[in-house]
Amino acid sequence: MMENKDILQDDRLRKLPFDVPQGYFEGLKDRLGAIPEKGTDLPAPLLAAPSAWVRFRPYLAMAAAFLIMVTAGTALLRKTVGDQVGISEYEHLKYADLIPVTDPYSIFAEAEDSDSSVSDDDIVAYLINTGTSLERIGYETNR
Amino acid sequence: MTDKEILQIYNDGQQERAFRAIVDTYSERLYWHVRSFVCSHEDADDLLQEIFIKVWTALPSFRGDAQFYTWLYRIATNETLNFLRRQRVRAALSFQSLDAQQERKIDDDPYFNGSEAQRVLAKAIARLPEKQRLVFVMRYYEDLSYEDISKILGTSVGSLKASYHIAYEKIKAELKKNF
Repeated sequence: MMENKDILQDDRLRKLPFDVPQGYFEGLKDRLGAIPEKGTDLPAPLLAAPSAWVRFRPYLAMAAAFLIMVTAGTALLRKTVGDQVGISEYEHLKYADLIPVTDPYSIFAEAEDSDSSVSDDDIVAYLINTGTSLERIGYETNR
Repeated sequence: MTDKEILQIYNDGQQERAFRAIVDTYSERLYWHVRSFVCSHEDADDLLQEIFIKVWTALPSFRGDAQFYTWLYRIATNETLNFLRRQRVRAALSFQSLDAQQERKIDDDPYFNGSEAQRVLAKAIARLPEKQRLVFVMRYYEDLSYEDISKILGTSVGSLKASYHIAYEKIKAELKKNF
C-alpha cells in the first residue's frame, strides 16, 4: 500500500521534529536584544581568523611524529644489525686465545710453507712417538 | 512590525530599538531556520547569537537593494554553512565522519519529539550534499519559494529546482527502504 504513495507528501513529515526548552524564546529575545548594549565586542571565533600557529599545529605534529618514528626506527635497526654482524665479547676472547700474542702472523705463515718445512728427522720422531716399529721405520726411511 | 517600519526606525537614528524589533520579529523564525541544519539545540542557540551579532554589525551596510528578510536569511545561512564547514574540518582532523556525528546528535537529542519516520528523514537530510540540503530544507520545511531561495543563496532558480528534485528523490528512496 505504501509503495504507490509518496511518503514525503505526508504533512506530518513537513513539521520539524524538535522542541525547545520551556520559555526559551522569551529568554532568547532578551539575550539577543542586549547585543547592542555590549557594543561590538564580537566573540573571538567570529572576529579573528585562526593564527598561523593554530593552523600549522596539526602539520607540525605530524612532521614531529614522522621524525620520531624515523629516528627510533634507525636506532632499532642499527642495534639489531650490529648485534648480528659484530663479535660478542665471548667470541672475541675465544678467537684471541687461538692467535699467539707475540707472533699473531704466524697463523698465516704456517699455512704458506707447510709442504717444505717437515724434515725426515721430524717424520722419524713422529713415527717413534706414535709407537711405529723400528723395522717399519727403517723400511720407510730407506725406501 | 513590518520590514519597512523597522528600517524606518533605524534610519530615524533609533538603531537599538530597530535591532530589538528585528529580534522580536525574526529570532524565532531564524532559530528554526538554523535548527533545521544543525542537529542540536545548543549548536543552534550558539549560532543564533553569532548571527545576530553579525546582523548588528552589518546593519549600517544594508542599502535596501534587497528585501530585508532575504538579507537576514542570507547572513543566517552563510553563518550556518561556515559552522557546518568548521565542524567538517574538525571531524576530518579527528578522523571521524561528520555524517556519523550528526546522526548521533539526532539520536541523542533530548528535544527530538518526532516519529521514527521523522528521525529517518532528519538523518537522510543530514547526509545530503551542502547545496541539496540547503534547498531541500528551505523548500520542504520552510516552504520558501524558489525565487526567495535564489535571492538568499545567489543561485539560479533552474539550478535550485534540479538540486531539489535530486534531493527529494534521494530522500524518498531512503524513506522507502525503511518504511
